[in-house]
This record gives sequence, C-alpha cells and structure tokens, in this order.
Amino acid sequence: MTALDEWHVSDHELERYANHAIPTFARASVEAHLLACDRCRSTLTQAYASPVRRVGVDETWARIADRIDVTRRPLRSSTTALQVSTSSPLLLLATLSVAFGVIVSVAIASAVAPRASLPLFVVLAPLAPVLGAVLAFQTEIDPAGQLARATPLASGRLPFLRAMLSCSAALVAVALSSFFVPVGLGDVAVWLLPGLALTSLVVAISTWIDPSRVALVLIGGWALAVSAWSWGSRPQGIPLDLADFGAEQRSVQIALIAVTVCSAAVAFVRRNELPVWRSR
Amino acid sequence: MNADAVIELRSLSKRYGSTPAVDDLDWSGGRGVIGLLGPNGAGKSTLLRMLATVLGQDSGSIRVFGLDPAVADERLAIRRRLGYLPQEAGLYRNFTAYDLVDYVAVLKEITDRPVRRDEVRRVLDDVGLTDEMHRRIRTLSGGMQRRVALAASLLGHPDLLVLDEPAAGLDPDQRLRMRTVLSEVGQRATVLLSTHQTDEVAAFCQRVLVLDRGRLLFDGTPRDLAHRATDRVWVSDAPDAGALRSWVTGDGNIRNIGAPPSGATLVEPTLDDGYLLVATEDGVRS
Repeated sequence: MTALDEWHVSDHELERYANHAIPTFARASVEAHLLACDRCRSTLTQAYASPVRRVGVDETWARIADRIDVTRRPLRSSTTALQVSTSSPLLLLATLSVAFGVIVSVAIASAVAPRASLPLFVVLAPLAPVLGAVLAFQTEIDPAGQLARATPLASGRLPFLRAMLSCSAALVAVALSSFFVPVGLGDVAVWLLPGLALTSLVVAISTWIDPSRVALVLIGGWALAVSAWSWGSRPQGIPLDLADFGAEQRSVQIALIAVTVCSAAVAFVRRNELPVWRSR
Repeated sequence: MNADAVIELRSLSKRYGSTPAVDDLDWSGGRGVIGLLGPNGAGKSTLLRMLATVLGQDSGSIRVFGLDPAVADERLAIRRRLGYLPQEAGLYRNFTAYDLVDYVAVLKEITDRPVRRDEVRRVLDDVGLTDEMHRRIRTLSGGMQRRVALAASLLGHPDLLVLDEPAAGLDPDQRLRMRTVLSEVGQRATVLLSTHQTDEVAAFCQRVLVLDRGRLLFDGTPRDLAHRATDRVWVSDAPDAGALRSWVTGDGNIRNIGAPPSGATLVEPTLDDGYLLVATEDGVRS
C-alpha cells in the first residue's frame, strides 16, 4: 500500500484532467485516485480555481457524485421518458407475466392439444396488448403511490408512455408465441394489427372512463366470439383457417390502421384527462 | 375575487353516500402557514384532497391560483405549482430514499439532471435524511418513511403545499425541524396542513381553521382561538355539572370549560381550551 499511497497525480495530468483533455480511461483512473486522496483534490481545487476552470472542476465533481449515487432503478442512465416509464417494478412484473403467460400457454396448447393452439392464439393475440395497456393505467403500479397522483407527469402523459411500452412487450410475446402455431410470418403481422387497434381504442376511451371496464367487455366479447367460431361455425374435422376472420382482407387492415391512428390522436389530444387518476 | 387569495372555495360540498364530508364551505386564503384542526372524520383529508386536485367535488367551486382543478389544462397548471403529502403515501418500499425522491422529481418535471440532483439532496437535507438517503425505504422507520414523503412534497419550491398530517409519526426533534422548514416555506408560499395537535398549530401556524362534520367552525389566528375561551375556563376539585366539558389535569385538578359558576377560579385559556370550546359548543347546538 505504501507505493500506492506515495503516488499522486502529476500537475500536468491534473491540468489536463481539469480541462477535460485526457482520454476516458485515464480520466477514470484520476477520478478514482482523487476520491481517495485529499492532497490531490486540494491541489486540483487550488490550482484550477479560476472562474472558468472552477466550473469544470465542479462539473467533474457533480459527475462523480452522479456515479456514486446508488443506481437501483432500472434504466436510470437512459432518457428521462424511458427511465420514468420503466420505473414501476410492479408494472414490469405484470407485463412480463402477461408476455410469459401468452408464450407459455400457446406452447403448452400446441404440445398437449394442437387443435386448441390456433384458437388460443387468436384469442390472445389482440387481448394481451390490451391487458398490458390497462395494467399501465392502474394508479397502484406507481412507485410513488398516492404521492404521484398530484404530480403533472404521473397523472397525465406517463400512463400513456407506460401503456405503449407494456403493449409493445405483449405484441412481441404474441409474435414469439406464433412459433408454436401453424401460421406464416405474414399472418403474424396481420394478427398484431387488431391488438394495436384495440389497445389504442382502449387507451383513447380511458380519457373518459376507467379502461378496466372497457377491457373487461372487450376481453369477454372477443373470447366468446372466438369460442363460437372455433366450436360452432366450422364442421368437425376441418382445420381452422385464420382467413375466416377477414383479418387478411385489405379493407379490414386499412380499417384497423385507421382505428389505431384516430384513437392515438384522440389519446394524444386528451393526454391530461385521466379520470382514473382523479377520484369522483 | 380576492387578488391575494391562493385558494378560494365557494359553497364547496362533498358527500360520501348520505354523510357530508365537506358541507357548503366558503373560504379563501393566501400566503403563510395555515393549520386545519378537527376530530377524526371532520372532513380535513377530503378537503385537502380536493385542494390537491386528486378528488372532485359534488357541488360548489374551487379555485387554486385562480384556476379550476376540474378543467384538465388548469389542473395541470395547478399541479406544476403544488406539493402534496397524502395521509398514506404508499411508497414502493424497494427503492432507496434518494431514488424515490429523484423519481418524484421527474414526475414534477425537473428533468435537468444536475438541477434534479441538487434539488433532491436539498429536500432530503431539509427533512434530515442526508445520512439515510441510500437506504431502501423498507429498512427505514415509520417516521423516516414519512419524512421521505414529506421531502418529495417539498420538491421544486411549490407555491402551495398541502400536507395531510405531516407530523404523524415524527419524534419531537423531527417535529421541530419540520416546523422550521415549513415556516421558511410559509414566508413565500401557502402551507395548508392538517393536524390533531393544537401545540403544532400554536407553534408555527399564522392562521387556524377548525373543521367538524364538514363545516368551518372557526377561522382566525391561534391567539384568537385561545381567546374564545377567555373567562370560560375554570378549575375545581370535582367535575362541574354545569360545564360543557370537564377533564382531569396532570396536577389532579378538574379543568372545566363552559359558563363558569359565580366564584369559580378562572384560569388563562390555552389553544386546547379554545378548540374544545368551539368544537363542543357546535356539538351541543346540533
């Protein structure tokens, strides 16, 4: 330790450090030494205390303080918007559960009851992103709890950002789960569209009423419709065909894109109207 | 409208089922520290939640900084100048105190990182948590957790600070510290806080409101509230049947409030006496 204790940063290096003129690796080494060495710190402060250079030193110390601050929140070093929208461990857990649930249930169905895997995929494809988005609107998932409700960001734009992320994760899960059902890549893309349209619709409606209720109706309705289709309208023995839903028709796709765009526009305009975050 | 008023309430009402929580309230207030006194269920939290823009009213109007919290854009404008400490904050317990307050700072749109770091450290220092700032919230005591939430409400130098029982769970030392901080804030902003403790109000509130069953029973200075009981407080050896309220004091005497009998030993009223008199007289009337 004696050799280390006797070593100090040379004046020349200190000057280059204060002027941000040394490469990153050397900078890290100097910073590590400065943290432990009072003598070099005071040399740095005294020698480069001119107003212009002082700013450089203060900035450096501010950056060191930033690094020392314990980083426990996910993605803290990324952009503010992404950082805050991913700041809810509860939502992260819920979203991962939805995504994992979709993949695992379709995979199990394809192994145990192959005929049931396609109906299950058709049921889950549009509903998983809706569920993801609805979770993002719950006040309970915010780490700041009740405190968040009176802040400008949490009670407005933030749930929308979170809904987008949560919905995206669910869409990725739907795409991955398609490996377990007999559909082509084109069909997968087609089946992401209804999910996107329904989610945007639910998000837009959430600026008027609690989206959980809307989602419940949608989930129930869609599950019933698919059940009726898979067990009722098709004669036994004939394989299910995604084309029956009309999702492959160009007009249906255009309609779905139009719903997505219009709903997203409504949600953007009304982004600060969130009744869920303000009790009646 | 009064130009200095930060808060203006007109015929404000809020009911839960058939129970009125806030009943036809008219009030306006400006800068300074204002204490809200009242028994449990008096409507204090309901009133504070309405002022903090998180609860809508049934009827009447609320204006904060002249803005209407029922209108989305105006609500956003209010929230940008507001600090709110709810009764139960419900913080996520696996964050560190620093991370939690830093997160709330982002929610309050303090996005510049160096500015935010300084601000987070300032408020944590204000509540005396500098040494504990990197501990996870679940490892902090109840009083410390309360101070984390209080620190978060102080972020960004709000013009209106709405605090629901900020002193709950704090030890005397921390209370003293909190009073100092809030008194400083009260020099330039409006601080509205609810409490059960009259000594809290006497110590640093410039104005006191007494609320019971959603109605405003008193609005004035703490001294005025104590003076309400002038010539209405006396001590005796046995409970006085004619008194509105009688209780045993620490020295074994009976302290009475109400209409004293002739020859009674009158004593100097305290804020407690004033508060009890106002609350009890109202109870007798209704």
